[in-house]
Amino acid sequence: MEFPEVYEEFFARIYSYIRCRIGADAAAEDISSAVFQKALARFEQYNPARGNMAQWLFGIARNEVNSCLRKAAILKFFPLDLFGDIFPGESGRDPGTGDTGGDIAELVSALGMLEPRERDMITLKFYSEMTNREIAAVTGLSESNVGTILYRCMAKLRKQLTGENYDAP
Amino acid sequence: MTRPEKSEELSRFITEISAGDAKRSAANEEVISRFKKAELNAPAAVKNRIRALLGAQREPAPRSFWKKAAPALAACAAALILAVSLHSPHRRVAELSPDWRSYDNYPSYADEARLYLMDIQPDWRASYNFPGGADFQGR
Repeated sequence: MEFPEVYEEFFARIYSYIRCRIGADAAAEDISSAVFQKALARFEQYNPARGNMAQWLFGIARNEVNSCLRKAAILKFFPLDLFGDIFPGESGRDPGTGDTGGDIAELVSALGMLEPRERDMITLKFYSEMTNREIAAVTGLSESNVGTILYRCMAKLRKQLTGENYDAP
Repeated sequence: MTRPEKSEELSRFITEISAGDAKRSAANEEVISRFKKAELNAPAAVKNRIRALLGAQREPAPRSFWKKAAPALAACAAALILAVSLHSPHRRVAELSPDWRSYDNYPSYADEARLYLMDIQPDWRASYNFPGGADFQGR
């Protein structure tokens, strides 16, 4: 598979994953760009024997997002307000999102209620479509732990998005 | 490129967490549809911008090319500098006449030396005080 095909196939999924984790369109664009630039630079090094393309790309995306979140956490100590548009879930709507009030904003808001690790797991599950075992390999958690986290996440999201309360038994 | 509304893995996941409960299954489907909508609404402008950026990134030769070409380029540069310096007019060697022992092949100040050794005339500007002149006849 050539890189342009990979880009066409994965752009929307990678972008949506990043957007759901970060919650801001501008930052999502920057991080998506960085992810694909890295992927392009290292495309020759991709080894299918070590995992499929989704695992590889989402691994890069996850590292980029985590790196961005770490920087944002550090900047929280210095109130420069340079990254004020990151984490809108804590202070309201994302000013860069054109669809405020829509389903996507609602989804981002619901994801904002989750723990960062839960947000990571559930977005990985939906956009990368990896199995729990593959997610466990990417995140370094056990497969059963991944399954439990995803189950709880879905209960929380159902409650937030559909109003139905199906808590974990 | 569009992909199926719901992959095999997601269907399996929904079935697993719904545990046979129809209402829960419907709620799970609703959650999935929100994620799918977010994916379908990924802005095309952003996609095009990033694609253009990646296109620009592909243009320059890869770093490995420069790594491979560096010795050849260095050798070419050295050869060029050497060629230029060898052909410099400053370094050009004076051509010898066929008779290399000829007087013409050696720079000489013999005439000036001779004048120096001789008693210089009071009028040092006299033409015969200077070598090479038609009037010079020695003492």
